[in-house]
Amino acid sequence: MDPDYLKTNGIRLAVALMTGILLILSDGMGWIDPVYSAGNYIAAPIAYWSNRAVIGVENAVGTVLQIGTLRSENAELIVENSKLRAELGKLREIERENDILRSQIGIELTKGWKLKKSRILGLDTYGIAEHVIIDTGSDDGVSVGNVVILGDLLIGEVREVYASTSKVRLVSNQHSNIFAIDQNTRAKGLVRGSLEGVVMEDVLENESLNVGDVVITWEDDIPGGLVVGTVSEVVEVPTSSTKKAFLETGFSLEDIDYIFVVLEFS
Amino acid sequence: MRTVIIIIAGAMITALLNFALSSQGYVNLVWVAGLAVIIADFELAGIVFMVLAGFLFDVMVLGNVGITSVSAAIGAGVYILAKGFGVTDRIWQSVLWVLVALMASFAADAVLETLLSDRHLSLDLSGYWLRSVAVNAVLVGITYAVIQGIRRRAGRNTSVRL
Repeated sequence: MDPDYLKTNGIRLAVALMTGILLILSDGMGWIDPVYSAGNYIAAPIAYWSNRAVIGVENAVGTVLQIGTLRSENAELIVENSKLRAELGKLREIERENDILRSQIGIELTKGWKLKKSRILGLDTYGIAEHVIIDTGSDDGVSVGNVVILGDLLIGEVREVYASTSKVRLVSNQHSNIFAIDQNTRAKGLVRGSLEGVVMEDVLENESLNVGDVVITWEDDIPGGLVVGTVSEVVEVPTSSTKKAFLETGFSLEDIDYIFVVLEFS
Repeated sequence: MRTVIIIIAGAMITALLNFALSSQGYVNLVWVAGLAVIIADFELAGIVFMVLAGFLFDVMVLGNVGITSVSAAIGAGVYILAKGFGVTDRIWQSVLWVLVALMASFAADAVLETLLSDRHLSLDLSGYWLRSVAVNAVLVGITYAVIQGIRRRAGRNTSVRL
């Protein structure tokens, strides 16, 4: 045992811990907010390109490692492509009917909304996909509560805003709590994230959910009609009066450069 | 003065790289680099580096500033305590205490995140954390080897007992 070593470094560690605690308290008091704004204004472009570089390297390494399976996958995809082309004609007709239905039940599309294009700077530090950082903030008109979308897909909601950056809480966050409806069966439920994925809960037992159904937002605090995901699995508990379904959101944030903040919707 | 510049530059680069790797989730370069520097007997530089890099990283991710610094300091404290009691002299002992230090950092980070942010971290994530600890420990070893390589070129004694 080395008492001098422990004493010297113990003091250093105590100072470091006190500094960290002071930083936490300062953040809680809001004194760090100007630092957030200034720091991110400087770091945002560097952070964005380094993030894209890492994803690019990851994709390149992944491609090399998967070369052996790529040829067989390619052959399967050619066959699937021809089947999908045949279905495309049917889907165009369904899209036309969908537009008519949306207007009939009063669900607005994103046309005419005021959108702010935003780059994704970084993803959740735990890789569990709960938050993203975007490069727009209060200087761009973004405010807490703004919905974030990609086309008609709901990505999340702005939760923290600084001058040039914002933090977006994703649909897959455990606290997201989005009121949603099955577009096909009209079953209503609450969508939030969980460790097992995005889940739609509190659906009444007598309402039906089918695999493949599209789940959209039901107008509440956020605009209605935005796609939350597609039902991938329905879970019914015999002893419960409700059921739940797991949803596939249909996008991967690592492959997306831009998302859109809804500043105004009509 | 040169040391101060190296620490500040290293903290900035580490925070940026850590931010870029944030989508991976497994890796925390602040803990990795800080622990490697402490293992290489630069305790003061390692502690200062961890606090500074942790602060810069938290600012970039708009997270609760201070959490990464505190969790890094706790992990460093575990290793320094073990070193002070002389149980890190051999490589296998050092590896063991690096793993314990990283687990302490993860646990501290999880508790602080749960208390101070809207993230809810639970024991259900323990499998994920164990994988993360293993990956980070490997990176600590690699970083330490790089530091030792640099020291050898500078002509310092770097004997190691197995």
